[in-house]
Amino acid sequence: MRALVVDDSRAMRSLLRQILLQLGIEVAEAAEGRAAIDLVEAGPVPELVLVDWHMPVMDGLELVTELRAHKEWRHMAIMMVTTESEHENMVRALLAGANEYLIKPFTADAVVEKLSLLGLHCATVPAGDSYGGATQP
Amino acid sequence: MTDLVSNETIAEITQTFWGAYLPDAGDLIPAVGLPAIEDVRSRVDIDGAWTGCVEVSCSMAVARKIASVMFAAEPSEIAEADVRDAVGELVNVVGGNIKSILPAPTSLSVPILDDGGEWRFAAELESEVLLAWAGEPIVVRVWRPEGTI
Repeated sequence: MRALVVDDSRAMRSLLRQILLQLGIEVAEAAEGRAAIDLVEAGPVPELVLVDWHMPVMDGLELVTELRAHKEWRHMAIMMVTTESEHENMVRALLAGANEYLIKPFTADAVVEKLSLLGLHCATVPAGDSYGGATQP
Repeated sequence: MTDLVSNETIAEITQTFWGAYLPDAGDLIPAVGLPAIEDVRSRVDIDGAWTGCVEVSCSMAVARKIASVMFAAEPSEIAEADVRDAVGELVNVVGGNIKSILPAPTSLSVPILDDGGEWRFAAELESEVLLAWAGEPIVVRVWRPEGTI
């Protein structure tokens, strides 16, 4: 499985990369929505996109809307990963096409649980393991 | 302290960041009388039904340790840009969660990092929480615009 992590924080992308790699998921990264669109268009198309809300250039809500405007990408699962927890905004993201919503700060277990809810099956994070082990590209 | 958000809540929100992202790096505990060291400062602005900002500051050593965990690298391998990025995400998460308990609707800015220039801004201190991580201070402040109550 391939995932695309879209967040303007390299530290956050690093944390998510470490979790996803432990789950056996390949990871690409983008720092904002427009760069994410460019990556998806260049392919390969990821099965999962994790999207922060507040980013420069193109924010997460715009990105979700743009991704869902492409019918050929409809199979893609989109999970918002954000501090934005106002109910109204959560509804906006889900109506725009996000499939799941994960509020920061999150644990590795919470990511696994959300992937399970999305029907995405992956390797199990070793018990008691946290984020260590992965290195930056 | 404000009626909107207590110091205890600010501390709990900040501790939640540690529990989630730095679980093996020791506890973040309330501190009293520890002199603040503010080499690294970052803030997020909140605008809307409540206006103000949330600021987090700490020593460069603490910031480097935070970044080393988030980047899964040795502290000696961490560049200053990584340090600033990690502290930016810290204030983004803490500020975002404080925003969630303030009157809505509000919007949250991207993190604003102290670049070494003039950092003070036109605001009055709403609250200040001093925490300690491995004996090192971390300060979380909530600011409101000048002249507001």
